[in-house]
Amino acid sequence: MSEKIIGYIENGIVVDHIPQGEVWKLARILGFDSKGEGRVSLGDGYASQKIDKKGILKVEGASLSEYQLNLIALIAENASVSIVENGVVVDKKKIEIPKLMKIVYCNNQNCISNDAHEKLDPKVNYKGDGIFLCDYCKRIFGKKDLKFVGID
Amino acid sequence: MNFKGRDVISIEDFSLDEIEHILNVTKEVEMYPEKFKNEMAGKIMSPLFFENSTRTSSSFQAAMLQMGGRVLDFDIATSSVNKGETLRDTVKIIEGYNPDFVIIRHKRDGSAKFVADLLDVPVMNAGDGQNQHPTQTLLDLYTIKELRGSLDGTKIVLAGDLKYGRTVHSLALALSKYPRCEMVFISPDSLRMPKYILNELSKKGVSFQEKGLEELELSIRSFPIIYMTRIQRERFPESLEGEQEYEVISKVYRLSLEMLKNVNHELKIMHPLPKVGEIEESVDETNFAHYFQQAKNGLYIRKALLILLAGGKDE
Repeated sequence: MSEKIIGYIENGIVVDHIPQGEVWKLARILGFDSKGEGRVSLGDGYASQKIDKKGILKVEGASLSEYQLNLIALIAENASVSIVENGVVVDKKKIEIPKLMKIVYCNNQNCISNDAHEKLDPKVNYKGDGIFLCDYCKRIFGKKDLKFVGID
Repeated sequence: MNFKGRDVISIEDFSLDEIEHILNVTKEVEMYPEKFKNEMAGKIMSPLFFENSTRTSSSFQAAMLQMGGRVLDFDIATSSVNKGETLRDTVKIIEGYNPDFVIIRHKRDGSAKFVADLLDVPVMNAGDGQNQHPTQTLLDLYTIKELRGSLDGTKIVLAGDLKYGRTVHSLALALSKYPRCEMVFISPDSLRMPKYILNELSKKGVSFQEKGLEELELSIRSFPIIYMTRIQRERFPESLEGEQEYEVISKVYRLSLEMLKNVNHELKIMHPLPKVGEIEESVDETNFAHYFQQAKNGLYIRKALLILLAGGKDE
């Protein structure tokens, strides 16, 4: 018997195949937790053919910027992102972690990019396999250490 | 192989062949100083030392002056940095004076890379926070090569503050480029080698072990080189417990003449200096001590780098 998945949306976005437990964080960093963007539905722990257990996020009346698509890729690299209009999926967005990004901080607190006085944009390279490298101090860190600019 | 106009930010920027070339030029500079006495004529070096330094800044200046170059004066105590000027602004102002080289030491990791990105002239990292100190690493490699004849198969004990000590981080990574190196890391538990360095070494297949300070004496009996670093009081909490922990460690972490009675007479003791009691003074006079020679080698390494970055001695 197939599981019943949360919420129907008429016009908006659906992010599916989010690793279990990450949907709450994703809603928060995308700004769908407090800004009254529209009707937000979150579900977690569903069976998935792509990953072990999945979460799903649906937001009525929302659209996604390039920046938000990058954030989704950072949290849920294998998620599928669909744009829904009049109850029908009209577009599937390709998501990819950018090779060089300014949207996450270096996790080394002594890095020049974390100096409040100097006010630099962070420059973090994605090396694949969940490995991130600061372009300034060359510190290597993993996904669990990601902190997002303007959010964390 | 082309070094002209390059920055020296991290030892990781150089391949094994490039490191070997730098070491060969350094040998030539040491042996034939007269040959290079006008190599920097008409060139200006701008040292930006935002943190205290005696050896490194002096040896950069001596290198430049002994080859006929000039050095701009930058005194942090009277600079606008103390009025809240950003590093970016300071560097842009210095750029206006048209230096041929900029040397930077700064408390923040990654500061040298940031400055190098801002400037077109070669930038040399003289120590960025706890991160890298590539000219120190090159002089360490040069010293080891002088002592052993080769860097392949170097067996070395790195001891002291391995968590914050940038010289040991850089040296471990540099040696990992050479085949068959073996390392022993000796430190208090709270100052162990960072995981990201250990991961890098594992990836490169380097053989290493981590040990406590109590293993110091035993380790120098079986390894031919020990590289000591100082342990600073400020690395421990400013509490009574922190004070006591530091006191205990200071007593245990001390290389004495007594300990050297049972070692191989070929043992080499290195130290990036300054040392603050971790090596008994009487050890300085023995044939085991190589740290003053090591410091002197800093002059030759920095001369060689200046020559190479200016476009000389390219292969």
